Amino acid sequence: MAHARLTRRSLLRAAGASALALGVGPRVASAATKPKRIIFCVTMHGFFRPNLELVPPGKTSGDAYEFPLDPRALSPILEPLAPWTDRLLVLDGLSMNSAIADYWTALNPHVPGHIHLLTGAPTAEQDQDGAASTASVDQRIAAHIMASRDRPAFGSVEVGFGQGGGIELGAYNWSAPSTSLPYLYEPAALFDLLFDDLGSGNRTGTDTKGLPAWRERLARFASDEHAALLAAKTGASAERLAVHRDLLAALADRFAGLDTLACMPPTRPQPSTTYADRYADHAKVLAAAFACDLTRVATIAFESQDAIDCGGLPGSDLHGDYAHSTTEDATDGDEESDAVMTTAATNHAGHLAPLLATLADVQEDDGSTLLDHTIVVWTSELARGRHQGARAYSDLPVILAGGDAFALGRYVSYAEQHAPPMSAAPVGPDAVGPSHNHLLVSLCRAMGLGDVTTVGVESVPLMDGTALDCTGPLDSLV
Amino acid sequence: MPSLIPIDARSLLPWVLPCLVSAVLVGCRDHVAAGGTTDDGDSSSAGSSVETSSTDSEPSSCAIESREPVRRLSAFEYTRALQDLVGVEIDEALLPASSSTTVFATDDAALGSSALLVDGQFDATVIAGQAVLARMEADGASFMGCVPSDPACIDTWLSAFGKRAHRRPLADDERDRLRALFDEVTAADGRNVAVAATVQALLLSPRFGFHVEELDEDGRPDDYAIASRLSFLLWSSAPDEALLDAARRGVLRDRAERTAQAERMLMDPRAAATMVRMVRELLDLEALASVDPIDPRWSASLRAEMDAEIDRFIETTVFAQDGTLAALLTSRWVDAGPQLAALYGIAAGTDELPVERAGLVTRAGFLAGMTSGASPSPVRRGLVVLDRLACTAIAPPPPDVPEIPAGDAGLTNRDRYEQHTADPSCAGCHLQIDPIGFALEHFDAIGAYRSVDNGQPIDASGAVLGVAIDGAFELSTALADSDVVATCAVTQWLRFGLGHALRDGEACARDELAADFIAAGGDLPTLLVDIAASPLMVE
Repeated sequence: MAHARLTRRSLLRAAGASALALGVGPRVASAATKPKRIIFCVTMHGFFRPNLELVPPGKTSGDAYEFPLDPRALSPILEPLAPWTDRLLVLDGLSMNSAIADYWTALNPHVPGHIHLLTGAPTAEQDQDGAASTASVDQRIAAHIMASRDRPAFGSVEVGFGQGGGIELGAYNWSAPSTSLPYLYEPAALFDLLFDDLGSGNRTGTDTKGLPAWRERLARFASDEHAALLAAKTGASAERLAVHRDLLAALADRFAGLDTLACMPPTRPQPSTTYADRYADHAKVLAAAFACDLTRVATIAFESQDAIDCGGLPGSDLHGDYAHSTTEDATDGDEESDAVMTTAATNHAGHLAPLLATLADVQEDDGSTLLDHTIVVWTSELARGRHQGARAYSDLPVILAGGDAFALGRYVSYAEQHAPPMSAAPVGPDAVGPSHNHLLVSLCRAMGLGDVTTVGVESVPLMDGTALDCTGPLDSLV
Repeated sequence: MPSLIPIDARSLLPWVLPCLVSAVLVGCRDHVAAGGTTDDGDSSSAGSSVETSSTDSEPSSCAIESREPVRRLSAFEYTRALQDLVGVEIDEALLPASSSTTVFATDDAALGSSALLVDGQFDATVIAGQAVLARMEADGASFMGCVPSDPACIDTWLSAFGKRAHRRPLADDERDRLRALFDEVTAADGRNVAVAATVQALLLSPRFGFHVEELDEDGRPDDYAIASRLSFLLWSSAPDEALLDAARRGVLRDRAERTAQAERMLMDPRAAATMVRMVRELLDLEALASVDPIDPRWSASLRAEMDAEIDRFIETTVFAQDGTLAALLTSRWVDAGPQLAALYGIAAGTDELPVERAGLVTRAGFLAGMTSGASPSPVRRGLVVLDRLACTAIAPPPPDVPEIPAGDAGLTNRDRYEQHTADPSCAGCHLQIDPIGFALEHFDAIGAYRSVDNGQPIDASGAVLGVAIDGAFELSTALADSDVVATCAVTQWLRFGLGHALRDGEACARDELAADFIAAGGDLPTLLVDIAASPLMVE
């Protein structure tokens, strides 16, 4: 028997409902209040920080300072973002202190980096294979959005992480403790998820006949069936059914909304042939999803690049051959690794630029653009590729772009003024900056969760016997 | 930049995954029995006492923990059940797991729900619904088992089809809701569309997409729950009519009945498919799909032949030949395609492997999947054997794993790994792992035999489970002779079947099963029958 991969889109085409103007660029749905959106862009292997950080005269790395970004005076890694300087906020000196404190569980520094980055919380108890103990901040934001009356079709979408490209080190996105979310690798798959239901019509409000016309009714029926069974269950069983019930209800909403969608989908992407093309296509589909208000939260998990695309030798491995061999914090590194890892991060800045451009190209009906209402967060699972023990997590760069929540066009360096967390030994930083949990709180608040005070741990015990408070928003963002 | 062999963290991660699976989620127990009447006069799900209560005793002193009564079907289970019900094959890729780090796809940690999964499930039901619609339009009576225009036909069909889809009779309220949906669709789009939509609704129900166990009046899984446990254990799919009928008669608490059912079910091709899937997941054979060894002989078609050969070997060995674990680990029977046969140095078709190979871990489909760049990885090979076949937990590697030293002139693959092992921070674990992998050093990155490496003769001496070995044959033989490996096989089957790491009572049952398994010469079909007959199926 032949494999079937029949999508609803092909069914719709068979039903003669394919007359939608595919290929027309997105235009935004009309709404009085523009929804806030957020995209987390997470790259691998950290940054070669000497070619990222900017230190003004009279200051040294690790000091507290801030200054306006000058497009003519950016670091090599930030250079591809020069056209967007006035829309950037570069944060330097934050620390994933929760990960340092949780360091004893580490398989290797990548694993807690993946878990802590968007949770700010320890790995699950008795679980050393990289499971989170709580939902990640994107899902917290998504849950808040999906609880609203004008919720979009999807709480969030997650893309990236090709097979063998990093997901085996742990996901970034967790819907619940120990429950990670799957990633869509190909932009065409993301397009199919978001747009392939367009135009089939519903039993209510259209003339479309046949089985496809019942999709919303069936999704609603299924959600109700889960609710009915849920009423007789308790504990984990009830929780599992409740999650599925809500996802089916969201699917039904999506079917209903797609039939009255006031925007045009993009062209379905072709299978991507290069890394850069793949993420440029993801950017287009995500921008269209935002424009159509199909979702407001996205994560792009950039998998590890091929070393040869970063100036490495043919057949070499970016991680094994270069990321560990830079000269930062080391006496046995080599400058070739510095160059390759600089190129790797610079490439990622180059991947980010088309995303910003695409978001800026879509105008809302009040003359603003999607970028005006979208926070883009670029960071990495590690601060630096040369991840020696718990030093993997201090001085974590974060590049924010877009949105209207923060004062943009600036570079902010936070002082490393705290003793390291208790578990920093044997190889840890001498001092750490503010916990990245504060940033996660600020992002929640920027996305409308005004009463959030804590994301992840509330505090981290320090080696000097004190504790570092991790609650509240991050200073100097506005 | 010297050419280094990357010992990437990704290749090390599998060290600990299987042995560190956390305790399964144990929520509040569900003591709500199905209750109510069902539409076929069933006695089991309503909690009535069964006619075979006198045979209920089990020869076990283990206090088996109750299972979480609601658990999602894995993609394999979902697609198998859908195929058995509607005859449509669905690509499992449509149903993404929530974790890629578990050994078995049935593990609780892989069974979270996501928007992507629900979208894929809906797509799957659309495909099934369209197939049903086509059958209805071609010959509705054939599909429904009654004349569609007969006023009684819809209820008759709904009861019968619903029972198979939900793996138990429809409760009255469920049937009423489905019938109302059917009538609604019929009024707008006619009977054929209504039947297809009703099938879709049944497939979208939690009673299809989840394992949903109801309890009898004694708070134990009812017979329909037992029927599903048996069918998913042996077939990774839903119960057939015979099993559902046994559940209706309330006889599945009878150990002899379960034994008879299991023996019957093992004759079905679905049992072989499940066996192949279990072994593939156990040995991480899917790794072959993502490796790309740097070798001019490597090709996609060779990869496909490796995959097919290892599947045929598992199925034939267990169900048409010896049937023992030892045979899986040592048999030379092979049915290889032309490219793979050339790699093995034998004739295409059924043959016997050369003397240097014996059993699963010497098959190219396993060996080539355990490759790191251009070289075989004794670490990955050794880890799979130690962790998956011997259930020996290995401590996590240190945070900053040094790289394997460069391939200088004259150094063999083994030399490079031994240099790595000499690092005190690595030696503790690698002294357990590498000697197993070294025994497979006669096989290169694509699993082809070699007598020299980098101009040096191969040294395939090693050790496994405290036994000194030299070469793959002795490794396979040592594994086949080991009670540790036999006990581990039982553990892994239970983890595959139960979907979680064993709890105390389950481990107790495992010990009893393992003793019988070893006494029976490691016969795998007998093990499956014993598991089916064990208290694990009824508690």
